[in-house]
Amino acid sequence: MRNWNATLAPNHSRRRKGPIRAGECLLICLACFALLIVESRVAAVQNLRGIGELLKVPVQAVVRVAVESIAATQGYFLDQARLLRENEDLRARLLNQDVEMQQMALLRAENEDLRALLALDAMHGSSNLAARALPRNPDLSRHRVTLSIGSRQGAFVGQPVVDSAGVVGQIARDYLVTSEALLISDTDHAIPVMFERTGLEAIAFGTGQRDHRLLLPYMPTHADVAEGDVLVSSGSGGRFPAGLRVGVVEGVRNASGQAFLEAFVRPAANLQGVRQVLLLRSEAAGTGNAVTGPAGGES
Amino acid sequence: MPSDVARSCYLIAAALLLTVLPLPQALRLWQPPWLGVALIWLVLAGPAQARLLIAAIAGLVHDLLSGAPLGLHAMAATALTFMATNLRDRMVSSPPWQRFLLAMVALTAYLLIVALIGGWFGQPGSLPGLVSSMLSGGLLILVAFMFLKV
Repeated sequence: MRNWNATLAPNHSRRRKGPIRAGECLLICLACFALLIVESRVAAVQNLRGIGELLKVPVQAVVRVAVESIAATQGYFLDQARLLRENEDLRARLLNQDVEMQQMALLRAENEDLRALLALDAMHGSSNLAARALPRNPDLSRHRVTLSIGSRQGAFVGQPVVDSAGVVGQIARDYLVTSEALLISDTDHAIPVMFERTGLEAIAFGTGQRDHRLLLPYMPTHADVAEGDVLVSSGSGGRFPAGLRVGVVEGVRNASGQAFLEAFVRPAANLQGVRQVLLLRSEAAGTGNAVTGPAGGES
Repeated sequence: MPSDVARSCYLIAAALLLTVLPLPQALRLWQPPWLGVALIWLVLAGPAQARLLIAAIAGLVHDLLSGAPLGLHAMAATALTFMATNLRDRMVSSPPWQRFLLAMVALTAYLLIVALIGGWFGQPGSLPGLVSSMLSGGLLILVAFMFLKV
């Protein structure tokens, strides 16, 4: 058997036979030419194409398998890269949507607050002013909030400030376009309250504590005060309208050697995260001119 | 030798398969004349006797597969084999560049016959197609010569 990879060498066996068969070549070429002419002229010969098509079938099958294999291999790597790229895109979109969802939750909460404020507005008259708390440092020791409306919009010192859950405080300073509200939890603030269950009246002082709780000092020892009692504004003093929710008693203490009880109240309003508030302008709130200071108004 | 015939058939079958292999549009013009190169390879490295009949049959199958006029590639393949066989001894004793040129002469004759006779029978070839086939065929011949250790 001849080695096909061998170095070429002169073909002496062929040379011995003399010139290559020119006659044979000429004969084949003439036959081919005749075939060309016959095929172009005689329709019956063109039917030979049918045989050719049959011959093509297995060849095409082999070619198709080869091409599909190549395409599948290419497709695998392309799909892999495309999937990775899509995965990254989807991750980025998911992150964006997570952030949007968080904002949606905030908006929903604000929406609920506004709806509640609208209900409160209808209850206490439509001349109330809606305001929002301006951004501030989250300093929990500071019990004041800056609001988005001022004297130009009708805010005045001493004006009650409430949110959808209850009393927030009152306006301590009114500037031209902003105002500062004193929260009921500030040590300078006091509000007359009434126990919803018993009708007992008292005064709730701000403690200045970071948890914003209020204190009911000097309660008689025989007073019917229990944990969970709901406090509402009594309307005494003419500053806050009666019936506004102030807070819930969360603890009663009888200091030893003292003749009085102390009750701690958890404010009903969300004093740690004041957002949307309503400035009441009811008749009970007065005009503001009678108030000389936040502490002096009620306490 | 029967094994030589079998090898020739395998090589020709592979060349025909490559001929009908679908290529991307950009590469279609640069498809080398697989059958022509395979026949040159066979003449240079294959059996001693010139197998004109094998070349003619291979060309005929090429015509059937490619839809060319019957006998076109058969005639060209026969002529190519005839020329390559006649030039074989001269190629072997020539320097490599001359060997390559002689092979290219045979391949060019093959391509010209396909283009001219094909044009006569309703399948004209284009000049860019002819040139690109010559270039790609020449490249393929160079590779084939490297395999043949010529």
